[in-house]
Amino acid sequence: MKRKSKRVFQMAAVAAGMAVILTAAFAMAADYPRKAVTVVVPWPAGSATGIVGQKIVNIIQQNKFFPQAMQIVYKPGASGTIGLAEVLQGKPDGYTIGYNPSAPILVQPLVKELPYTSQTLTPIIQTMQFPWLLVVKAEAPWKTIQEFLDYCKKHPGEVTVGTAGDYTWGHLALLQMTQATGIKFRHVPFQGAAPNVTALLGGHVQASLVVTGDVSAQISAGKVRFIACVETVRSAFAPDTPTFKELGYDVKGTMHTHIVVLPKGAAPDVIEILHEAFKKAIDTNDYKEFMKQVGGDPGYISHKDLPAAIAAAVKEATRLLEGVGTKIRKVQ
Amino acid sequence: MGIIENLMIGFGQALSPVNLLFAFLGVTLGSLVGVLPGIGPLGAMSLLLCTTFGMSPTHSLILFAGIYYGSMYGGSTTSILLNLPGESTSVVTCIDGYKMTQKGRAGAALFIAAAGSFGAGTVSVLGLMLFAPPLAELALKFGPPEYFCLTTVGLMVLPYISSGSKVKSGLMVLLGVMVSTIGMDPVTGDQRFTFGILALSQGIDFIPMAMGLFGIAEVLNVLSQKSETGKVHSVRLREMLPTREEIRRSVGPIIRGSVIGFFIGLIPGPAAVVASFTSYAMEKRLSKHPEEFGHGAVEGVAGPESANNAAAGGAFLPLIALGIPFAPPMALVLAALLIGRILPGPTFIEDHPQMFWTFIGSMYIGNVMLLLLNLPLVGLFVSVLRTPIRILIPVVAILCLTGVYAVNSSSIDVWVLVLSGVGGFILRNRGYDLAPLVLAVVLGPKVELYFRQSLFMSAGSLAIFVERSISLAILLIPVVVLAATVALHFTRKSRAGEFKKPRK
Repeated sequence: MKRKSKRVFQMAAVAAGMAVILTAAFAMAADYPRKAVTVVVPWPAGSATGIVGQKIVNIIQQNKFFPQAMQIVYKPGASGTIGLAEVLQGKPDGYTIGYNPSAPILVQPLVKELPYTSQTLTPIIQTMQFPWLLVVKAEAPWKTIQEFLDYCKKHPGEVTVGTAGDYTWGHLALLQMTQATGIKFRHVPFQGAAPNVTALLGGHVQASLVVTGDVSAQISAGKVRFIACVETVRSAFAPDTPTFKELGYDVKGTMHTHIVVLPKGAAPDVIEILHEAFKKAIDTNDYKEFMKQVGGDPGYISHKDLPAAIAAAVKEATRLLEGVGTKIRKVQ
Repeated sequence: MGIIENLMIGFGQALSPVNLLFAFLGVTLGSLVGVLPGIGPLGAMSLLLCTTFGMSPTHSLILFAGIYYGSMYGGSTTSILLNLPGESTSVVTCIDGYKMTQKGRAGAALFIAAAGSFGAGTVSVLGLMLFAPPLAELALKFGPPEYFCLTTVGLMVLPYISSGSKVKSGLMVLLGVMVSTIGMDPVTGDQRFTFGILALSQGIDFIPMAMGLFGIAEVLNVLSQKSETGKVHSVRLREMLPTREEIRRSVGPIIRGSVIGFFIGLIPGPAAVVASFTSYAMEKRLSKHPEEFGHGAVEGVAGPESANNAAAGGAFLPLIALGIPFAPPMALVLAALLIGRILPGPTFIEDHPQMFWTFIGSMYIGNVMLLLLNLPLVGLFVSVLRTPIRILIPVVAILCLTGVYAVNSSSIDVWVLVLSGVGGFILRNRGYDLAPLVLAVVLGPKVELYFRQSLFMSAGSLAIFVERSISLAILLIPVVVLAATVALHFTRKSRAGEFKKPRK
């Protein structure tokens, strides 16, 4: 009798030991995230990216879509490249991620020497996109885009169009307009959206390329109006504004979006977990309401489809910039 | 509804316990970040932005506004006591404020600065209340050509504010503009003078440079002197309050500074900084004792301090009346409002009258709170000076080093601090004035940016600056002033019966 119970005891001990080891093994594999994650936003806190990033992280925290804490750190500078470079030069362990607009990822590496390119990162998810629209003051004499384009044809190189800066998506949208219509505009780059809109309101430029969020207050007050959309589909915020594509011009549209990134070489389960957390956040009603406030369209693209989308956008940007004689760096 | 009735309702709301609490929190935080070198209202607002989720937008507005104009009060404290500008807007206050401290008039300087700031706050609240929409329309008429003329005239005024050789100050302005070119080209983003260091593509930040040129250079200065001069041994009450004469001489500068500051605050960019030295130059020009400037003239504290506070108030106007932020702190106020689901725009006042009037009421109450906070603390601040030099100086140095790193967590900033400190020490010993240098670093990039934007607008034609009426008017100001000076000089001299070559 004693020997049998001792046997049973030994078997139980071995079984328990195996169970512990197996559980530990599973725990090791699924032990991301073990601590808080830092989300780096390479723009100032009050910027559009800053506010949206803050909102999403807030939603994730409130609904516990992510098992650990997420905190935002703002690292503005050099049009978003400094903060992004820091993230992408770190470890791909998933504890430091970047939330950025697409320009520093897609466009800047083409024209500046940077320690990263669109190929040396792991995209997780695209959360939002901003369509680009051409606006004019309410009192402007052109009621339709056709009138505007006819006027521009008669005065080539004279009509001033403001954008938020060189090598921003607004600038690329203007280049698309130029290439598609064959008309020369006079590009006036400003430092950001606010001076762009101010200049338009003050009559210092005759038209501006903006995203809806830049002018929503002015639109509701009736001070400016949308005249065309430089995309392939109409914007939800300007359903009556025709797109250039509809009018018969061949434009590919822009890709002004927010993308979450990790350095290259992240583990698949890290990517999955992060992707799930952000996806759940952008599916909430809270987020959808908020998007309407800031003028963004839904623009979800998963990590599986993002590399192709990014490559296509880079190709288009290269084509546009080379078309005006800019030297493009090779993106390996 | 009449303005008075609206104001009464606004005050009623602003006096509610919760609103009072937010106002108090805002102004206290603002004063604190203003006093601490390095971190400023922008940093404080960025940190607090995440707390505004779930707050009512009125509360966030009151809180953030309080931080912003509160920091204008606090910034002058370290400028006056330690020659350490807490903010870019307090650089000019260092010039005469620190000299007043060295003459034993620190308390008076702090008092006058607080009183001037209060007067300016009141003027800007009145301005916001009465003139918001029409002034906003006026502000819109200024475009890149006008901004270019303003900033260029500003650069030309800079050598004038120093008390030493104009040529040396002109050289400092040039050096400042050269330093400001380090970094990204403002239009194309090309790297200039960055030697491949990515962190330098941000450019040389103003805060580390100012803290180095003023704070660290002063530390080195004190260290290089063997004796313990400059230590205030005892501070009696009589010395803490301004004399009747000082009060009398401050009234004019405060009024003029407030009005000028408010209007300059309507313009985008570094409005408060421009306002502060414009006021200084104006007071120096109007004073009967211009030779006192640079050696402790009370007008040199009263004017600029009022101007920068008024500019802070004026900066709200484009945000409230147009929905467009003209300065980075305003962008954060806008963000806080957006988070609270309010989108300010041209119809903000009509759509949310309660919020607007509560904000106005709260702004005034905040200014009163700041006055009550700062005046009794004058004695406390001045007693900081009683600290023995061998303890005070290292503390100042440590505050500078940590404060500078706290802003951007960038080691480049610390290098800039140390190098400007050494450079500033050497330059001061050679008789070069440092205020024009650091102010040129702020203005330089703007001059270039607006010049190029204007040329984009005109496709390269320089005529744009004289074709536009406002721009032409601004360009003519220095011409008119120069002509008036020459004419006045000649009539005075001919009356005295002598003929001398006119000095510039």
